[in-house]
Amino acid sequence: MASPDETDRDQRAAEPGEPTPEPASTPPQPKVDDSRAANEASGVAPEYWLGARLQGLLIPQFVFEWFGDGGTNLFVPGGAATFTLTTSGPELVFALNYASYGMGETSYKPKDTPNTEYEILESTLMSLGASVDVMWSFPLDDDATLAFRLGGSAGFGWTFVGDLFRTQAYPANGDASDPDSYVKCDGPNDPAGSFRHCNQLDKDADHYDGFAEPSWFAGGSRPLIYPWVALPVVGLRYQPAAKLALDLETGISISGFVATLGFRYGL
Amino acid sequence: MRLIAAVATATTLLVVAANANAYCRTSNCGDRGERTLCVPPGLDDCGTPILWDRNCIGFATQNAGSKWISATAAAAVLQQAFARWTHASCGEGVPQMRVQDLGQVPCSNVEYNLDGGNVNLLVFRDDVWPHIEKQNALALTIVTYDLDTNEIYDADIEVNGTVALVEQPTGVWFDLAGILTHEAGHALGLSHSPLAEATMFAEIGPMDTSFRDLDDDDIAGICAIYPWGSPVTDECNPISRHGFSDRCLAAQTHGDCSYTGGVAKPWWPVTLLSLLLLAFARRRWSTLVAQFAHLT
Repeated sequence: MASPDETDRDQRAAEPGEPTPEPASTPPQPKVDDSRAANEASGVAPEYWLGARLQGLLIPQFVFEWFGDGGTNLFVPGGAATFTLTTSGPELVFALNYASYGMGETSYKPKDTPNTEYEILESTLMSLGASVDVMWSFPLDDDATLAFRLGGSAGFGWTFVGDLFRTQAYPANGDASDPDSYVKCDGPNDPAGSFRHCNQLDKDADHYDGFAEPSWFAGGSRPLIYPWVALPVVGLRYQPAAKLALDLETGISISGFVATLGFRYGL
Repeated sequence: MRLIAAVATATTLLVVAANANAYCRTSNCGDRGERTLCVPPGLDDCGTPILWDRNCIGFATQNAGSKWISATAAAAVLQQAFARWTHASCGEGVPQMRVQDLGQVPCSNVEYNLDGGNVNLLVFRDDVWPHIEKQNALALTIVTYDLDTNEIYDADIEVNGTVALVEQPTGVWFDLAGILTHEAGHALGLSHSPLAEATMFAEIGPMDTSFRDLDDDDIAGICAIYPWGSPVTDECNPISRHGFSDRCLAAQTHGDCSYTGGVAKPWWPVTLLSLLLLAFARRRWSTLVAQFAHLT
């Protein structure tokens, strides 16, 4: 299999008046990046790709429970625009991401605190982020139409819009140990007799009527920047044409399970 | 920065002669400390009277109760005691004050916490009466108030359980209901009355149940502090200053961080939502730090 440079040399050698070069006799090299190999074979060899992908992140309840009690299985939908750079080794996928961290009413409290600490959390946060995926491909058939992909992803996100709401909660059915029984307090000791839950401790004295946690820059603790790491990421690439590829991937991120479905077009 | 002070007022078991003065309110007399303001005024009166700057407070009972009475029964007696004051007739209405029963709590410390939750407490000292300087006291009410605003922040009632507090077939006993009615008056801002027939008189004798019934002098006092109006309902907010806590300060939790040096959760650099959850805990910790800087 020849490289583009070798093809150029062959074409130049056909010109009259020039000495005929010896054909290259490079021994076969193991190919990891089969997409590049396939493209070279077809003569178009895109080095750059533009694409888009849908992304879903599932944050399981056990992630919530690392830090406290309650929580929920949270699905975070999103998408990304991608720019893929092929190299002689892995592909580098640069992505600009959007994700919606919207969450309905979810009861939650920090670990090792009394049940009176339960609050109802709600989120309308949305984030933009940037990430780089480093992905190796391994062909699964002779013409590299189908390939197995393996790699990882790292980046960061920015919660550019939305809020995290916290409201004091009390167990409506009286079972304080059941996170699902909690509902929002209307105010301090409202409903009457709920003062142990609908309390006014300094740390959460005003967490009623849709209290929105301030961001870091506003003196609060809602993060504005957060890291993104997913490792490993595995998937399949289907390349029906030299300049078109579909990627289906899944991986384990540091907050849950991620899955993406993307397409890209070779430039 | 606000300064606070506590005034301890004891009810003793010695009976002394009365004089002709009338009700007195506990007052903040600045450098001269806690004094009284009486109606009509006494010779030593000075300062500004203290009071709750709200119309709803709560009291809880230490869950061990007493060898003389269970916590549940004691709480009921205390509620009746407060009700005598809050249901007094002030002409066209009742005093604008309601005292709610906040149940039983494990904390047995008399304390007011600037950096933690609080509770107004009824606690019995059955084994040892710790107030050596007031060995004759049947009960002691500690009222904490703001030296600048004269607002009462907290009131705790200790009852001397080394003496019999319920009716005995033989021997001496003292009337808990009367004692608690007297202490409730202190908790609401009244001081001792010089009138022997008043519930706020400083001494009570054995088997004397007269403190259960308010005297006109007592009623005049409570109506002066909390003028009449429509009854305050249970919908009111009895939550203590800095929040209600059934635990003593040392046992209170503050998010992930305990006041007693609890271990903070290891930082886990995870993605957005996980960080939000960390922030949930961090917020509590930062608030705790802030409280040390602002004594209120």
